[in-house]
Amino acid sequence: MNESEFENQLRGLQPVSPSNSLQGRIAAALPLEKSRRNFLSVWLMERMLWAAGGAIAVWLLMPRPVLSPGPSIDATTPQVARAPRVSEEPSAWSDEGVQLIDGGTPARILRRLVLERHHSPDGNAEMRVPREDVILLPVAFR
Amino acid sequence: MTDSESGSWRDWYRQHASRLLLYARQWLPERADAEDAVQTGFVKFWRNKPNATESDTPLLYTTVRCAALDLLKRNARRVRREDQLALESGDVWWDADTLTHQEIACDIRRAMESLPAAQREVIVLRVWAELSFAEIAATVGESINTITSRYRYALEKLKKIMTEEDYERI
Repeated sequence: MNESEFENQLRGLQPVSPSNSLQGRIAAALPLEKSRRNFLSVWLMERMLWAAGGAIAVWLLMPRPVLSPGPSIDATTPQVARAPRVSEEPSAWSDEGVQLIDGGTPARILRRLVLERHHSPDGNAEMRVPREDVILLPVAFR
Repeated sequence: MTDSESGSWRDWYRQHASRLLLYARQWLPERADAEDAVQTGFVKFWRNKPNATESDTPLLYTTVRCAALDLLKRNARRVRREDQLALESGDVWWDADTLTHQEIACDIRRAMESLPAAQREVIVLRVWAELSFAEIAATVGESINTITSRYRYALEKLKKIMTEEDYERI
């Protein structure tokens, strides 16, 4: 008898089945079978979808209060506030000469003082705002 | 059940229960103990792998193996005593419908019990659980080469014992 014949002879013997109670004990230890769980989740999902659909339909069919139109807008009323008119008046210049800025870059520094005048559109009010401009002019040494 | 598809635990039970019982009896010859180990291992496996596929089969055997070894460790003295009683009472490991088959089954059991546990385990996994050598290696945690040579050696030894018993019977 060669090896494979001997193997086949051994395979001819079928292991005895466990007792019937074993499957029951395993079933008790595994609370829910997968197929049962899937069935439950599909069932629940179906019902939730139906409920959601119903809620949307009720919302669509529900009567809503009709809003009365508000007072008409007067055509003469300006829709957008007009921007104030601005004028500026240079008052003084100062030259601070060539200086090293940003750790070594030479530049000429000029300062200009400006007075901004904001006029209201109807011309009844005016606001003055001082402003200082700093102008940096790059300088090359030769 | 293909590799990609996962069946219910009942499908797995139908396919593996008898094999797992035989496997567990390599350490726990008493049927009730072996069934306890199969129950513990199977439930543990299925809780961790509820969508198990065919490629998880070695893990199932490993889990039952661990459960059997744990039980053996806890009840070592009682298991040894009951092992002897089970052998004497002719408790069978395989279905045998005729007297001749029963006799062969008893002979194979005795022959199997004379093998070292590691060799016996490989024979059960290969012959009756029908696992590949790679799957057995994964189950036992050894290399495929070790498993292959262990199997060849065990089969040769088993065959020799069986032949000697046949000779003695004649």
